[in-house]
Amino acid sequence: MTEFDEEESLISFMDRVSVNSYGKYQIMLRPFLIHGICALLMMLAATSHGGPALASEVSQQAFIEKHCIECHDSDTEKGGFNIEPLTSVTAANAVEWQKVWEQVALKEMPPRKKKQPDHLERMHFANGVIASLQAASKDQGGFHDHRLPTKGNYVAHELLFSDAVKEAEPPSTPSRMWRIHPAAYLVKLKELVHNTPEYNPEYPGQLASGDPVIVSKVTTDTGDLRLSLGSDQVMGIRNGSGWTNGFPSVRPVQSLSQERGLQDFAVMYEVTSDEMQLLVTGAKAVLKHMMVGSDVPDYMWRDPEKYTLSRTSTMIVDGKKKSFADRETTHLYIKGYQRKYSPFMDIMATGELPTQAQLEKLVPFLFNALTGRNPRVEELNKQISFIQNEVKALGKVEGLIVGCAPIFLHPEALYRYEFGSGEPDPSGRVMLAGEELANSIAGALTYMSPDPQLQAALKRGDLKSRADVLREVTRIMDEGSIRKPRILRFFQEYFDYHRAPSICKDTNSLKAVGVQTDGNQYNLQMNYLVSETDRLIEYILESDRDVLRELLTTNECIARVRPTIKEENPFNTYNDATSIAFYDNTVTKYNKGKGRKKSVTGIEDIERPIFIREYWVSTSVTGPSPWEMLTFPATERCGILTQPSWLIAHSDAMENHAVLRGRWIRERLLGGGVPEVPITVDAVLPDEPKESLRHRMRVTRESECWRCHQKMDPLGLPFEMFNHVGKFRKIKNGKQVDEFGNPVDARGEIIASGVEELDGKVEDAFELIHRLANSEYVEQVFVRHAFRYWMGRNETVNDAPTLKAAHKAYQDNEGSMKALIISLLTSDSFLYRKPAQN
Amino acid sequence: MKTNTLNRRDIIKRFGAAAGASTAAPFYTALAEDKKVSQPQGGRQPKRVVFFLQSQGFSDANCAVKGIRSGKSLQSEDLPVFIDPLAPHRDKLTIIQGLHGKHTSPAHSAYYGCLGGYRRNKSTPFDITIDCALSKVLPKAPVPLLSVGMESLNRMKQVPIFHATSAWGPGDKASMICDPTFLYRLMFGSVATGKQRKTYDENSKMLDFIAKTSAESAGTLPESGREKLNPYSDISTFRDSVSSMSDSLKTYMPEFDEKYSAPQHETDWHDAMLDLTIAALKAGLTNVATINSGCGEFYGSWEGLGIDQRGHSLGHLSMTSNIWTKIRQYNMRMLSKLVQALEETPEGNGTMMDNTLIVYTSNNADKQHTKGASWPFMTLGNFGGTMQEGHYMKIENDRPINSFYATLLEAAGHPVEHFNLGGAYEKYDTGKGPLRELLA
Repeated sequence: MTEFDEEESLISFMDRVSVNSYGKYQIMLRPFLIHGICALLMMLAATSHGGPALASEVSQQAFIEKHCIECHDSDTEKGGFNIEPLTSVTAANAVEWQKVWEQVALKEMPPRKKKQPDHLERMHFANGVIASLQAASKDQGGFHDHRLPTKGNYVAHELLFSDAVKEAEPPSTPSRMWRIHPAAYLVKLKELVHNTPEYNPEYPGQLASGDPVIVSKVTTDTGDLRLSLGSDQVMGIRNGSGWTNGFPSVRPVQSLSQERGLQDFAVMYEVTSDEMQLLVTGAKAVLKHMMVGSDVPDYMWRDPEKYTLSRTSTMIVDGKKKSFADRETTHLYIKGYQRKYSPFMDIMATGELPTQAQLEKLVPFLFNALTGRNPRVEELNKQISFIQNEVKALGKVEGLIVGCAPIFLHPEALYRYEFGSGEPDPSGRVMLAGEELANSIAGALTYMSPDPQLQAALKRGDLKSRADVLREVTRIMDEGSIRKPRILRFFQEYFDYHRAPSICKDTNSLKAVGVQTDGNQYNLQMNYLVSETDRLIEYILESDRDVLRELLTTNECIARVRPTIKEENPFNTYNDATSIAFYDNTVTKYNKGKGRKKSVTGIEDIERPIFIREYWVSTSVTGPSPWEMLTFPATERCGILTQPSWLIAHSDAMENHAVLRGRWIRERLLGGGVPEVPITVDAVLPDEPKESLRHRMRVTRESECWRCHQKMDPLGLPFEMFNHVGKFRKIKNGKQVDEFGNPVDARGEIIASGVEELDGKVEDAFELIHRLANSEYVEQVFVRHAFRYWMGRNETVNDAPTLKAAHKAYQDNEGSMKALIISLLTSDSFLYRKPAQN
Repeated sequence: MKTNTLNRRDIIKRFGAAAGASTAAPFYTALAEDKKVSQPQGGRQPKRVVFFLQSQGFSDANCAVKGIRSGKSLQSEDLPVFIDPLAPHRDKLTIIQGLHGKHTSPAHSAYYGCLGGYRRNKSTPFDITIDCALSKVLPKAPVPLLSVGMESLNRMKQVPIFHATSAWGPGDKASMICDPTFLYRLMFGSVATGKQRKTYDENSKMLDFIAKTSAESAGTLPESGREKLNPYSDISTFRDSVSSMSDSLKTYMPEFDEKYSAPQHETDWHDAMLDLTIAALKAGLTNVATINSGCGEFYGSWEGLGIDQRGHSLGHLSMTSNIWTKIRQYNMRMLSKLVQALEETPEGNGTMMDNTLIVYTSNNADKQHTKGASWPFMTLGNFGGTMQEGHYMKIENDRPINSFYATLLEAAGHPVEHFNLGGAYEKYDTGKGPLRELLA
């Protein structure tokens, strides 16, 4: 084995470079020994994270012999897969074993026609493979796929909402440091520099203090998050993509994952040394802004005497014609704005160096804002001493910047510590306590540090028990002035509708369906569509009854039904973009004064107009709002899945994407999954531009594709009732037709859901949605997703009591999201920590 | 051949990678991993490679030589106007046409799929890219990969570190540095003078204070928590590593002039980035560089060339338009400067250029809205005598860009049958192994 050892590190690299290069090392591996595999799996199953240690009760060997060998030995090799060469789990064959895990966990294998293992047997085998993969990949960083949000459904639903697992441990979460989400970090910075108004219940949609930093959704498709200094003062933006290059901004955090689905898991983000450099840069810019204000170029301030605007993408600056495209000149600011108060202002009010007393006020101010706690005495003294030394060396402004920047990079400004403290209970768990608990409660709902009342409760010793947590969580949930962006974020990530602007639509395809293709208009409309769905969800949450069913079936929509009146907008920007055209096929020229041809019922009281959060500022609160809540015929719209934002987010540049839509339903409503495809597989549909999508998707019905595609396509094709921008397709002679005149076939089917009453054919998307919306099973799947989001991890069978209690709370309170969240945040899974096992 | 061994840091870094999470391989960590600098050998050997990726496309027309057949010398041929500045280096130039990247689904940019040869994904690389793979098999240097980005001035200032084209493995992005003043201080700060040295020292002091704070915090944590705080100390480890090369750094350090401190146009900073890349290669800081003109995306700005248009809209112009001709010629002048700089620098019995390969292509095949059916490349140099040079090569049989990358690995002494094609091998490649016709 000497040769093997010498080459081991090379293999670990080369096996990723070339799959076939495994071959030349395989001769060095042991011959196939089924007992060898099973012994290893059995041994490791006992250490599998998150699952009960039941290895001794199951036989991995028996599982393979009973369920795999018949079809996958070297003679049969069904589907081209032979399990025999997989003598043990190694780094080199980890990819193959991962497939085995996926197929078994997702109930793809054994095939449905064959005898099925029971849920426990399946779970133990899957856990055994995971444990082996973890051990085999240890030197390559370990195996962690099962911890990703996309793999949450791999734990059998039946084991979570039943009492099948008798040996489960009491619920807890592994102790951890959870990276404070970059979006939350950005809000903390924003609150230091922006004069965002406090929450005003009269205008619930208005951007308020504590709300997220809303950046252009169009240009964040690479996950950039940036704080635009002075954007609280922006009055207008002339070009959507200008946001990317133009804004005087800081980008204090690295990019976010832009995958679909839940994104804020504790395993997903770490601070790297590169990012620390960005954080330093960001901290310095924020500190400078706090001290001396913005260095926005003069010509960017709104000053009609200095420049003139035109309706085209050019502007005259100091007599010179300048293009707006992708430039900083796309942003126009209010002249002479006021900076937000901070202790820096007192320090900067005089020419003197900062006093000890001023620094004793400044450091706790920054510490609280960034870490959610006061500095300890020693920390305070060291920080003040460092600042004083830097001021001495570099002068007042530079010294304060360099001296204060380290607070922005304090480990507790970047991570939420969740270790718990106190005496462990019999199962080894400890409860979160003190500042950790306060920060966990605040971080579960807000992007801010603990609010003053929560801090007061902590200070007086009233934050120790589950009852204390219940009291504080209920208070925060009830208090509108405490902004809770994490709740809306859950729905964004659960539904994925907020990804609509990142779908780069083909210009000709937009023209073909009657969408304005001017870059400004299109980009803005995409942002409107997302913000409108945001608000619709918030309205449903406000009623807080039958939330999931309402989300899935409401025929109400919020839409921008008219342009901004010119006189209301001195900058004359974006005044003719509407979003109603995306809903209503007959309304495309509303802004030209022709009015809506179709009858829709406005239900919103005119005295309380609807405001949405646009991507740079909230809607002006003066003058009539261009947004209305509309009730569409129930035969045209049915919940979030028929909102243009969701339909576009699940489309591609030129057409509908039935696979994405079907996959969403399979995963988020049916709690199922589809195995990963090889990275180079990118099936291309036949180029038959005038044929229906259903006809062109015949290629996915070929046998090697259909095994997976049957789980998606029949769930996605019913949405052919809508075109790729979300318009309800035209009706001709009583039947819907597509843009080429083909009759729309919106039939579909739920196949292999695991729930008998759900399976079966449907006539269209509405029948599909209603069947799902009325299912208790779907409700439980929704609860599982909420659990993952608020715990920042996937559920295990140990969490069954938490899930059952959360579902019961939801049901007992008439489908209340508030009850569901409170139940989760007072559960053992949320409150207890246990040292992490590798 | 001994390859990088995995240390504890690596494990932490790859944790995110294995999890498919959006992590980024830290520039600092990568630097700190292996401090050993390989000294020039007497004989020729493949030693370094430079990739130059232009955003928005590089079409067949841009490198079409009239009437030439595959395998013929370029020595007496006229180069098309777009690449004419390379005429003095015709003997080193190879034009490669006929490759495809259909499976990368390029659209605006193939992102990691360009150098990875796999499906485009903007936020998460699926696997290692060829520049990083070559870094693992070529002689070691303190900076395994120097990736630099060029964009509009504002963008370069605001996004000093970016990720788009290079990756060490699944989910494991390699950092691209976009701010030349930042890169200057990073690489040469310890031997710089004046304001740059002062800023370097200030930052060092601040980062040391931060590291100390974190170490105190880590002392109270269990092992799992302490590991998360390692990046705090990586920066100083890196600083020590680079400053130990002070003699070499002083020899090749570029002058910090107005090009850096008061750029008139973004092209001043583009030029500065090229100078820094050349300096890093000469100083032995790196053996693998990737220059991203347009930062691997679909924007870009070249006001310094008199081009008023910028950003995404440039991609709507023909690749043979006047504007793109200006940009392409600017690329070529940069390549020419790079070749000259390496030719001027002795190494072993010859020059650095003798052991170098420069690869030019686009991160988005042949144009902005493309299906990737045609993906031309150009190379300069013979990579230590392992690659052909001075020829026009038309690759037959619909081979993918992956086959070219397999060729580079073979030339570097590590043959593979294919690069990142996995189970879809038969579907996207009609052949196996490297492109033999490109090998010497």
